[in-house]
Amino acid sequence: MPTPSPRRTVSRRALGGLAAGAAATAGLAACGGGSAGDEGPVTLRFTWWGADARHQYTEQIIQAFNEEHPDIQVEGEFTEWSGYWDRLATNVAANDAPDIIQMDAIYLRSYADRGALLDLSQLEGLDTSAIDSNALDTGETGDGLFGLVIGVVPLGVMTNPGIVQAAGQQVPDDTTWTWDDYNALGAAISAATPEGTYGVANGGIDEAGLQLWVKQLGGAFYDDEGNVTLDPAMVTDWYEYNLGLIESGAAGPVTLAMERAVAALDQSGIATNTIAMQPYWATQINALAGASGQPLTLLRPPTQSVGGEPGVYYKPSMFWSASARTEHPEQVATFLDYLVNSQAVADLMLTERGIPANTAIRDYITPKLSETDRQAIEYTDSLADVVEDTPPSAPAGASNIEEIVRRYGSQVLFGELQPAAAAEAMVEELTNAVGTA
Amino acid sequence: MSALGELRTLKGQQSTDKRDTKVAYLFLLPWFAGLFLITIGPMAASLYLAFTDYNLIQPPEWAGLDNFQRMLTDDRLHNSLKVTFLYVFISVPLQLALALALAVLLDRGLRGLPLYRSIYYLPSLLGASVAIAVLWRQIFGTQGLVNQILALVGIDGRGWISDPSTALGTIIILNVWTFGAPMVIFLAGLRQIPRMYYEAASTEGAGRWRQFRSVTLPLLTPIIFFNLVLQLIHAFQSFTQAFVVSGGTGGPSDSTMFYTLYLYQSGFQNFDMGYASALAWLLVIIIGVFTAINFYASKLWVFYDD
Repeated sequence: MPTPSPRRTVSRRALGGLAAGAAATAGLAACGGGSAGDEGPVTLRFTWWGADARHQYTEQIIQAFNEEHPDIQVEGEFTEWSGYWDRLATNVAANDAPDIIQMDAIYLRSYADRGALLDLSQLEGLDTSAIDSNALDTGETGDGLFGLVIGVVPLGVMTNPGIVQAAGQQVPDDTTWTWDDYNALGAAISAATPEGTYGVANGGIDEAGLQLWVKQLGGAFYDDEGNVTLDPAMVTDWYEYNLGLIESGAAGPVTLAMERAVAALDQSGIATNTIAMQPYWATQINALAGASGQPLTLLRPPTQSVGGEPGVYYKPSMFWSASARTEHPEQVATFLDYLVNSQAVADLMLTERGIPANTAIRDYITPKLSETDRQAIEYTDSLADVVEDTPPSAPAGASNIEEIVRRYGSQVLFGELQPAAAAEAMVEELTNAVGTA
Repeated sequence: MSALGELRTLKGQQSTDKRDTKVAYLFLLPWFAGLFLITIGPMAASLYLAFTDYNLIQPPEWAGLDNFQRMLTDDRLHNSLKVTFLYVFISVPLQLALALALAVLLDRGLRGLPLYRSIYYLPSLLGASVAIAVLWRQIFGTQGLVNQILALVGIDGRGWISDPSTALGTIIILNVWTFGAPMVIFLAGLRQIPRMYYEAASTEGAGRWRQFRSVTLPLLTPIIFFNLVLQLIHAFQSFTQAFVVSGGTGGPSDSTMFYTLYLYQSGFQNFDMGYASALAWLLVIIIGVFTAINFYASKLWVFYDD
């Protein structure tokens, strides 16, 4: 609904619903020009999840946009991650979805396949030409473009060289190392460092870790049609490897990992300098190095065998989506275009929402970045020769994949389930969840 | 006065009654509005949704008894029932016993009673809050207070909250700790017991324990019953503690997967609102059955002194 601005007293206020259509056209005509005629500005609701720093600069983005576009009034709504999805689900159910929605890959198809999102490829005024085409594809389902990728980020092994060297070890050559090397190095570090410091973090409970493992073995969770294709044998293999990390002493007690799995980033092993190596999304180096206070470095993930593929891919960090029920698609396009193509936005956002998928913007911000941000970009660029296609995103019904992986993984690590049985049960649950969605 | 006059008076009386009733309803209107809009309406909607397949985004589709059939083979549901029953039947008796014991102690005419009462009541005000649940995570964490104290006496602690064999225990302790509300009710109940019974009992030579068993306990049974019903219903509906302590996961490995948490996950994380609604109604039935059993059994042990 067009909310009449107090500054612009509108005589046509009474026209109500009719004005909505008129305002939309007026908005389009006024796009960028700033002459809104005698219409009140169109209000767009914009929602995102994140922490305080993100809220602050996103509010600044909104303010800058609103000043540049007096005919559009964007209003921000935000929460942290966990409350965000409850709220979005209820808003959508109540036909009260925000116009612009920050979206995650595991939820994208849950909303898109059920018709809740707008096909962005149909929007005029949204220029996606500068966005890396592989990255852009990650927001597509068979029916259209429902997520406009904001940033990409690869997985890397976050490493604290200080701990590695204190243990009398060398930071390994990451172009040749294998998972066996990772285990052996981890065990050596655990043995040579004080009680409570470990070489590597426990694996076996994180979805990203399993994705990587499966990719290295040539498999995938899902196919392009959204069917579950995860091979239980690969999951079993992953469980066994991660049990081996505990056995060798490379990783610490499982309870510690369970605690950290739900704790804030600054309580993690890397952040508290009690773990030397742990896989993370590359851009997390910024927050982790800040919390740790020590220099960190990013290594390529180990491979299954010498000379094997590291299986890395650019994960879409998040997307911009729009509600299928928005009354103002033209204004939504204007705002989305501003978000992904404007240098003013890039100045504020930098890599906080991932390394920009817009290559022009990425080049533009690189000189402005902090040391750690640049490390993330350099690492990402260094993968160019080995990077693989991004796996298909989670189909509808698989939005709780992280929880499923963690639950079965913890049952294995605690010895409640045998690896093979857990792998079978996990794939079955996932298949059922997707099949009944 | 004639019969007619009497009739007139009676009629007048009646009309005053009617007017009073109308006024009463008028005053009750805000409450009724709340009841119908916020309680009955959503309940009716959820009853309907319980028989549908509803993913929150697309309109619900009629599914008959599918959701209820699915409950029979849902292992995670059965596990969540087990967790919830364990929690209810361990924490409620413990909590009531502690509340009663402290109420009896405080009833001894302690100096500074209001202060103690407030101190013991404090956890009840805080117990269901997010802040306390977060605090709990710190206290029972691997590097938490409990382990630091244990380390002083040379015992190697563990991650109490992150170990599936002890995680539920920490939440039970959290609930037992919030004994303040039943304690205050017990205190009020103890005050109601006429002193003369105790005087008579002590004249007869009854010791303190005997007095407690033969005078206090029987006369307090209505209060115990009241607390039991209340706390049982309350415990079945527990959500916040498990949600916050486990970080919303019900983990580690579903060991704190309370019924309500599973319901919430089904509805909001798995987009399975039809099933979640059916689960909500199963909970209503479970609580109803236990409350009914409670009331029925109360005839056998609750003693009304009137």
